[in-house]
Amino acid sequence: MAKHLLFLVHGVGDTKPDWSKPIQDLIRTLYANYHVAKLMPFDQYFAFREINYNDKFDARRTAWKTASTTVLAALGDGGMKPGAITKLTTWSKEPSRDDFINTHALDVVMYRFLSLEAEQVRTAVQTQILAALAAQPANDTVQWSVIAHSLGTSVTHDVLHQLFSPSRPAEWGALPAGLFKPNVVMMLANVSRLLENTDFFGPDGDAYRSAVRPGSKPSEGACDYFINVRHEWDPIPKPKLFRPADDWPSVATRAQGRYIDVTINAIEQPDVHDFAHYLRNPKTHVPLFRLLTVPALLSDDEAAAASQAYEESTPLEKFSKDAKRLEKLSLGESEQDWRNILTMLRDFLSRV
Amino acid sequence: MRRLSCAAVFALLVACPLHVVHAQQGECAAIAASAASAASARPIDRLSLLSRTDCLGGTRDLDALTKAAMKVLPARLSDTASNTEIRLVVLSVLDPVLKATSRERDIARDTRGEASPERAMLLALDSSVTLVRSAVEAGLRATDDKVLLTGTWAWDPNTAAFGDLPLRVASMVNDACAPVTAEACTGSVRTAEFVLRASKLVERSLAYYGRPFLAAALAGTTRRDAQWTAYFGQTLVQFPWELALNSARFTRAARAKSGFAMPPSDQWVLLHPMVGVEYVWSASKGSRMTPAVAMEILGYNRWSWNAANKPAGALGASVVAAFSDRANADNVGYGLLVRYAHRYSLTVTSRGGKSGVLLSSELGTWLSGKQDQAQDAMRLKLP
Repeated sequence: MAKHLLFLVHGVGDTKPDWSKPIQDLIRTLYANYHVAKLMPFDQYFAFREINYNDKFDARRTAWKTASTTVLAALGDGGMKPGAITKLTTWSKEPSRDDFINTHALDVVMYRFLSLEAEQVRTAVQTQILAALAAQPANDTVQWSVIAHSLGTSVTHDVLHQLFSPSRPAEWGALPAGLFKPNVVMMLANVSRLLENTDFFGPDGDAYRSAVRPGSKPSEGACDYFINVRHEWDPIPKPKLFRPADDWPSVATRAQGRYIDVTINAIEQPDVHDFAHYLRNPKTHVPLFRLLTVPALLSDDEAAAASQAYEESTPLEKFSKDAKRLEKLSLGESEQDWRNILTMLRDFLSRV
Repeated sequence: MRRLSCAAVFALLVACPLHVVHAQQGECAAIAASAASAASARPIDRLSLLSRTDCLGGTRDLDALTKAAMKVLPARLSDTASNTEIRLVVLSVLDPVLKATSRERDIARDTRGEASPERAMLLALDSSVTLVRSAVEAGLRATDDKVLLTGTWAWDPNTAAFGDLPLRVASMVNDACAPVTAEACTGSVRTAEFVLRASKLVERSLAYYGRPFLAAALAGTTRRDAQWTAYFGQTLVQFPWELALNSARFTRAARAKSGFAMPPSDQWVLLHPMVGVEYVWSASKGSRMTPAVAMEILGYNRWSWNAANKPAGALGASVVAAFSDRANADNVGYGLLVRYAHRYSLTVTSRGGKSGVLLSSELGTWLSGKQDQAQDAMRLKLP
């Protein structure tokens, strides 16, 4: 039987294959708390597919390190120290330092500003998704959804745009949205606007104008439902915040409830940007579980009870210091200065 | 999965006449019974659950129509299947669905009346399935008509509606099932079950019909993925500033194609440090062959992608500044580099009028190997 595939897309960080196992376990555990789990046991109807792209960034850092080390070794041997070469090669070795914070920040910069690197990442992610879909039985419908976090929201946005944009060229292999688009796209700490690249994609790369939108008709948009989740205390998705107008992508689509905007603020741990921290909040996972199953079978009462219990377990006063610190780090929603954004990113990551 | 005893299922059936669980067998009967126990679930939600759990036209469905329609649909699309073969398979699924729809339509006329909502629903379904059959028979591509899209036929439990079919199943059921014990409810739910089952079978057949699109898209992206891997793994390593320069060029090229650009088949080289072996004829003996560090000040490499998605026929040239520590010759020389296959480069340098040759370490290694081979051959010839 073809199961509904749930693709998990990571954000920045030192992610290795199997990074998603704790997230998978968490989703299973959360799902089991609701009555609908008895009607549709998770593993009978859903299967996870983990997406990896961090190896591309790692490969670049390793290549720079290897090339620089060779040159620096030769400089030492020959007794020659031409200043320019030494400086350049030493500098190019820097990104490979085992420096967690620099690595995190650099991945974002590489994805946004080095289009060759970004395109390799996008192509690798497309390949992983399409290979998983093609492996599904041909005699059943292909059901899939994506849960993306942080940098992964931008990667997911760009990949879905490339998969389902009407501009997709024939030689790339047309992919009719009405046949293969995902059911639910869930963006946690959405930075797709911050990292949108209209220089590369043209005007259609704009996160509000791209193909990545829920469609009221099967042939429209790159998904059936779009859930956008933002944590009020998370400073990372705040610059160029993804906050579409009420008529995005269309009045009809909004009237059908195909765009779900969720704002959460309960703090369970200092790292409010964490993937799992987002997911644990019932306001985040209930809309997802409803759309993956039958909405009416996860009642409002059940959702409200879960939310109340979660909020009671996360009193804000317990984290008032963290909240103050996060407030200080926070930039304005219209912030576009990358120096400020990177400083915020480094400051945030250094403290969590 | 929740298992219910026979007694529990029977009790639920008696308590909830609607649930038209009569149409369900095996695993699906238990699912239907579980759904019936959910206090908040309306008949339409129970139908949605049966649809979501593959009990209406899905893989769990033991209904005769589903079995008949699905027995011809293979789980794997052969790489060699022609469009005609695919079309014939899909028609073999659609034919029993069409036949069953006509039969249900006649039953609805006889039992519910000419003007009943059930008959109107089945008439509309009949005409939609007929449209699909005609489109498939005519050989239209899945993108040529919205009726050929699986999304058109997909039941969405959230909106309680089909993607884009003019079949108002929810209204029919909700009207007939107010109250849920109404006699009309049973017939209406039965019709709704049939409509959901038939539409699912059409959807599944169209998923098969559209499979070649997925295969083509995967082939395209796999090819590009292989080229990107080769771009970063087999061409000249780019330092961060070179990657920035080439990315800027790639961005410009991609923008002209709305972001749909193939991996480049060239690269600029800028301030690229390299190591090699330099030979200066006029340098003093013992100082002629020395390790050297050089910098490609500006250069350009180009290649083409071969059938195996590897860069082929790569050639390049650069202006070079070479540095080495030697007696009787300037430490800095300038020259012109030519490169083959990204790795083998030869640079002719000039140091204050003294010529030299700088070989990339790969070329030096290769030449040393050749020299060793020649010496070995010479030794073998000696008496």
